[in-house]
Amino acid sequence: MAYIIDVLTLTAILMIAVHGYMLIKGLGGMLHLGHAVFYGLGAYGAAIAGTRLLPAAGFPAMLLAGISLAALGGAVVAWPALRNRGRYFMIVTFAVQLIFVTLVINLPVTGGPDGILSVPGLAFGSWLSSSTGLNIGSVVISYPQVKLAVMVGFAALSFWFCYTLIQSPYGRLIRAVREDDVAVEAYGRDTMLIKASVLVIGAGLTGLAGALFASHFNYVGPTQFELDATVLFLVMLIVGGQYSLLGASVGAVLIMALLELLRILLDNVLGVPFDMTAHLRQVFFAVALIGVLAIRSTGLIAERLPKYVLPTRRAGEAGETIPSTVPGAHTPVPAQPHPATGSRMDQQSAPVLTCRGLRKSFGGVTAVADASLDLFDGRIVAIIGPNGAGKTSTFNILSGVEQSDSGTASIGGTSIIGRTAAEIARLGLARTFQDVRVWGRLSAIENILAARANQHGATALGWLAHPERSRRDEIENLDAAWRLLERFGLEQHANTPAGQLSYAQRKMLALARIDAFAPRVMLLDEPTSGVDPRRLGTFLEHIRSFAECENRAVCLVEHNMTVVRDLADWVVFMEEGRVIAAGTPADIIGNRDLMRVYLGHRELKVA
Amino acid sequence: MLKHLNPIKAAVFSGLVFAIGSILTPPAQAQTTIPVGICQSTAQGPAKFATALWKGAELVLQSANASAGTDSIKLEPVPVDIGNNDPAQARLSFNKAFQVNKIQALICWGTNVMVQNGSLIDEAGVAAFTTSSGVNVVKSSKLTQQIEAVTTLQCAVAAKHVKERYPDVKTFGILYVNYEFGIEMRDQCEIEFGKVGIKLVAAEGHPNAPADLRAQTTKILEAKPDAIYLAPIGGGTVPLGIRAGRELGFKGLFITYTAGDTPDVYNLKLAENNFFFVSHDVPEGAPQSVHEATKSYGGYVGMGYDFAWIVTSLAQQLKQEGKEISGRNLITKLRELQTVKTPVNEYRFLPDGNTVRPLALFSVAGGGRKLEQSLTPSQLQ
Amino acid sequence: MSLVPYLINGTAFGLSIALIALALALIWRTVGMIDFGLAAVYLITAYTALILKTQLEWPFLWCAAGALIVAPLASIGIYTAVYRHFIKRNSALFVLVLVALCLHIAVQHILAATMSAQKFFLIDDIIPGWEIGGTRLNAVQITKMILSLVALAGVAYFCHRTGRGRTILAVADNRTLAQGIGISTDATYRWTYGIAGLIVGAAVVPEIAENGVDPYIATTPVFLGMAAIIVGGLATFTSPVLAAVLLGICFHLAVWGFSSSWQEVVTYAIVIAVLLLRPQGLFGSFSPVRQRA
Repeated sequence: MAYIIDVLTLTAILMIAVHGYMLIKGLGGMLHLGHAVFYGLGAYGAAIAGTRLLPAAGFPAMLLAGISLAALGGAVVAWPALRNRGRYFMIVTFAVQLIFVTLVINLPVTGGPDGILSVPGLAFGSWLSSSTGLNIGSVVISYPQVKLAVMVGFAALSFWFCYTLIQSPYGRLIRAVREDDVAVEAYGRDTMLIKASVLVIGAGLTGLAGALFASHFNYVGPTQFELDATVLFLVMLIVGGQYSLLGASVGAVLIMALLELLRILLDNVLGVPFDMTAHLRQVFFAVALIGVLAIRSTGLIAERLPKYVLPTRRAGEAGETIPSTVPGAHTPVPAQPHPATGSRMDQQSAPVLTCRGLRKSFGGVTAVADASLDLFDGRIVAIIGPNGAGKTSTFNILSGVEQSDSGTASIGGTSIIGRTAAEIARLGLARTFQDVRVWGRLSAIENILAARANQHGATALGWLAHPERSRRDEIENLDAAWRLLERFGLEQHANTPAGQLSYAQRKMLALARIDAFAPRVMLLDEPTSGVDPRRLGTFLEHIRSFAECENRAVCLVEHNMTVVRDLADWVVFMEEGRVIAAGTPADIIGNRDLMRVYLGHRELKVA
Repeated sequence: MLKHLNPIKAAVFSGLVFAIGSILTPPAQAQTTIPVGICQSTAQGPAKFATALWKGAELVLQSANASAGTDSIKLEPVPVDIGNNDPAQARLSFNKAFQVNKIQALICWGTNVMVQNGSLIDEAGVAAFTTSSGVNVVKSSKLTQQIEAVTTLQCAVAAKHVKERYPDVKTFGILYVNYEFGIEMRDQCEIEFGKVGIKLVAAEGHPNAPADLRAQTTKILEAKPDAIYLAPIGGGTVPLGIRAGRELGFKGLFITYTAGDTPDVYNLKLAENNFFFVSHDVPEGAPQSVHEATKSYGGYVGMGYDFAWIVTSLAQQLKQEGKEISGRNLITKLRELQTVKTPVNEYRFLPDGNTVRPLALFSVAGGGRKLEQSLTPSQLQ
Repeated sequence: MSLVPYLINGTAFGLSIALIALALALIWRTVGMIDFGLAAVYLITAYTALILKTQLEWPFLWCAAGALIVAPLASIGIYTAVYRHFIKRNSALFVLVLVALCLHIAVQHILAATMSAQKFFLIDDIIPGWEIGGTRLNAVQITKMILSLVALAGVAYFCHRTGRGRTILAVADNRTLAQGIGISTDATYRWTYGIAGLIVGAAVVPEIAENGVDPYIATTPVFLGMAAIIVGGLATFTSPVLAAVLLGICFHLAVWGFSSSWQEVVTYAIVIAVLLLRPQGLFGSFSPVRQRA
C-alpha cells in the first residue's frame, strides 16, 4: 500500500510539472529542453527556504519560494531564449539544462553535491506532522495518506488553473502566438511579452511541483534534475498529447504506470537476466516512446477547442436575416467605430496615413526604392504593379513587419518609422496577408476574438488581476464576434478550426478578423486573389463597406483590374520599388503605357 | 582484458537460463524462501560493480540450490533499480521491493541514495547492507550496516601503506569525482594522509565518466606531487587517470581504492608500476568460483558473495531458533554475533552500523591483481 | 602556471570534437534536424571495433577498417528504419530531436545490458608521443587532429567537386527547388547520413584506441559537438570546426583559470553567451536551411 501511495504521490507531483510543460510547449509552442531546471529551481527554492531562510514560516513559505525562484528562472531564460522569435529557444534551454547540474554541484547555497538534507515535509501547525499524521476524532489518517491527498489536491488545483488559463482570452492569444506570431503582432500584441509571461507562469507552476517534491522527499540533490528528468517530462507530455491539458495529465499517469509496470514485468514476469533489468527498463521506455511518436506524433489526446454557442437572441436574428451560407454582405452590420475615427473626410482633409520616400534593400536587392502614399478616412486606394514592384514590401514597412532603410511614414501625425508591428497596430493600422495567415488551430470565432483590441483578459496581468472585467469584456466580444461572423457569412463555421476552412472562407475570415480589430487604416494584401469569381461581388461589398460604412482608410494591393476599377477611389502604380504614377482608376487603368508595363511584366513572367 | 568479453556473454546466457529456471522450478516444500534486494544502476561505475555484486550473490544462490534440503534457506534475488543513483528513483524501487516483493535484506550503495531512504528502510524493517563508503550512511538508519570500509578507513590504510613503503612521498594530489562521494574521499584523505605527514598539494574534480582528464592532470602536476590519489566512482576512470598522468610525465605513485579493483585496471600495463589500490581480499581458502568471478568482474564479487552468504547463514540460525526471519531480526542477530566469518572474509559488525572488515593492498601484475598485504579486522581495529 | 600546455591539449581535444561537430553540421544543414542519434552510431561503431578485436581477434587496423565500414551503414540504417518515416511526414523538429535522443538512450542501454557497463581498453600501455610546448601529445591525439583536418577537406571536396556532393548542397540550400529539378531527397539524405556516419567512424576509432569503449562514451562528444555548431554557426563547414577548437581550448582553459569543477559551466555558458550576443554564430550565419517548427 505504501508503494502505491508513494507512486501516486509522485505521479500527482509530476503531473503538475507536466502541466507547466504543457503551458510552455503545448500552449505556447516553445521548443523547450530544460524543464528539469525549473523543477529543480522550485525544489531548491523550497529547500533553501525551508531549511535556511525561513524555516519558521513553514510549508506555504516553501511553496512560495519554490514558485518564485522557478518563475524568476523562467524570466531569466525568456530574455535570451526568445529573441529572434525563439529560433534558439530549444538550444538555449538545452544548454541551460546541461549547465544547471554542474552549477548546483558547485554552489555552497545548494549544498553542493550532497544537496540539501532534512527538508521539512508537510506541516500545518499542530494538527499535522510527519510523525503523527492527521487525527480527526477517532479517525487517524497516516502522514503518507494525507500527503497523497494534498498532492492530488494540488494537481487538481493545477489542472483547474491551467484549464481556466487555456479557456481565457489570454490562453487564446497564447495559442494564436503559437500558430503565427507575426499575425499576432500585426494585431497589436507584443508576442515576446506573451511568450515570456507564459514561460514564467509555466516555470512557476513547475516550480510548485519542484517545491512539493522537495517537501515530499525531504531531500533535494543534483542527480534528480539531470537531462533524464527533462526527457521524462517530455515523454509524459508528448505521449499524452502536448496540445491537450487532459493529455498532459493522462500522459503523466500513463508513463508512471508504464515505468512501474515495466519494473514488475522485468523483475517478476519476464525473468530477464538480473543485471539487465535497470538497462532494459530504459530500453523499453525509449522504444515505447519512438513507437508512440511513429504512430501518433500528436499524442494520445488531441487538442480540444472550446465550443461557442450562438446566443439564443442572436440565433433568432440570424435565422431571419441570413437565409443561406452566402455571405450576408447585403446586410452590413456596422462595426463599432474606431475611437480615432471622426466624421468622413473629403479628399481635401489631411491624410490619416502618409509616407514619403520609403526605401528597403535586402542584401543587394532593392525591394522598395521610393514609395510614397497618402491614405484618407473613408477612401480606398489600390496599389497595382507588376510582380516584384515592391507592393507587399511597402505594406511590410508600413505595418512594421520590416523596417525601412530610409523615408518617413506617419499615422495621424505620429511617426511609425522604427516602431514595431504591434506598436503600429495599436496606432490604428492593421493588415491582411497575401497568404492569409489565419491562426489555423484556432476556430473561426476564436480568430475573431483573438484579434479584438478591447480585451482586458488578453494579458496575464489583466486576466489574473481583474477576472470580472475580463469576463465582461469576453461577453461583449463574443457578441460582437457572432455579429461579425454573421455579417461575413461564417457563423455556421464558427467552431471549425480555421485551418480546415476552404481557401475562400479563410480569405473571408481574414476580412472579418481585420474588421474585428476595428483599425483606422486597413492594408489588404490581395484580398480577392484565388476567390471564385461568383463570390467576388460579396468580397467587394465587404471591402467597400469598410470605407463607406465604417469610414476606414483602406489600401489594397490588387492584380484584378475589375476589382480595382470597382473599388478604388485612387490608384497608385508601382514598378521596381518606385511609385511611378497615381490617379483615378480611369486615369491609371486607361493609360496604355502603364498597362503595357504591367502586362509586359506579366507576359514576360509567363513566357 | 579482451578475453573477458566471452565470459560476460556466457554469464548473460547463464543468467538467462538461471532466471528462467528459477521461475520454472517449483520450490522444495519445507524450503524457506527469503526475498533479498540487490541494487542495480544505470550510472556508469555503479552499473559495473552492480554486476559484480550480483555475480557474487549468484554463486551463493547456486550452491544453496544445489544442496537444497528440506530445511534449507533459499534466497530469492530481487533487482532494485536505482536509476542514475537517484535517491527519488531509489525510493520508488525500495518501496516496490519492500511492499510487493517483501524483501527482508538489501544490498545497495550511493551515499545520498542510502541517507535519503534511511527512514524508509527502518520503517519497512529491512536489513540493509551498504557498500557506500560515506560516513553518514549508517547514521540515517538503525537497520543499515556497512559492509565496506568507509572513506576514513580507506584513506587511513592507504596513507599508512604509503608512509611505510614509499618513504619519499611527502606530498600528494587528488583527482576526484565531483560528487558527494568523491568530495568526501578528498576531505578524508587530506586528513588521514596529513596524519602521517603527507601533505595535500592539489585537488582537482572531474565529472563522472569524463572524456578527458588531461587538463586536470596538467594542473595537479604543476603542484609537483609525489603521489596522486584517484577517487572516481569507477567505470574506467582509473585507467584514464593513470594514462593521462604517465603520458604527461608523472613518474610518481598512483593510489586508489576499490574503484581500481576491476578488470580494466588489471589489464592496464601502465598500472603495473608505481600503483596500488586498497580493496577486498579473496584469500586462498575462498571458494574457487569466487576467485574466478573476481577475475572477470572485479573485487565487488566477494562482497556480493558475502552478503548472500551472511543473510543465508543468519536466516538459517533464526530458523533453527524458531524465530521469524525478518530484516529486523537479521540485523539484531548480526550485531549479537558481531564476528561473522564467511568462506571469504571475517567481519566485525559493530552495533553502530559500522563494520571492521579485512582489507588488502594490491598491485597489478600479469593481467590480474597481486596481493601485497592483507589486513585483518584486528589490525584495522 | 604555463598556459601553453592547456592551449595545446585544448586544441587537440577540440579537433577531436570537431569531427562530431562536422557530422552534426552536415545533417543539420541538409536534413534540418539535430541528430543526437549520431551518439548511437558512435556506440555501434565503437562496439563493432571492440567485437572485431575480441571475437575475431583482428589486428587493430583491420578493426578500424571494419568499424569505418559499419559506421556509415549504421547511420544510413537508422535513417532508413527510423528517421525517414518521421521526415516524410514532415514531423516537427521537436519530435525528431526526441526520437534521436531515444535512439541514443535505447542503444546505450542495450549495449550496457548485453555487453556490460564495463570499460574495455584497446591499448593497455603508454601511447607513443612527443613533447610539444611543455606538454606531451600522443600519436592518437595527433591522428585525431590530422583526421579532423582531412575530414574537413574531404567534406569540402566532396560537396563542391562531386556531383553527389553538389546535390547535397542543393538540397541543403533549397529542398523544394532541388526536388523540382529532379533531385531525390531520399537518396541525398542517405548519402548525407552515410557521410556523417563515416565522419563519426573516423572520430570513434582513434578515440576508443586512447580512451576505451563503454556504453557511456558517446554523450560528451555529441553534446560538445552540438555546442560547437551553436558557437560556430553553420555558414560553412569550417565554422563548427573552428568553434570546436575554441570550445576545446575553453574546456582546458577553464581548469587553468578557474577550477576543474567549473569546466562544464564555463563551456556551456560560452554557448549561451554566443546565443545572446551573436546568435548567428561566431563565424557566420547560423540559419539552418530548413527550419522546422
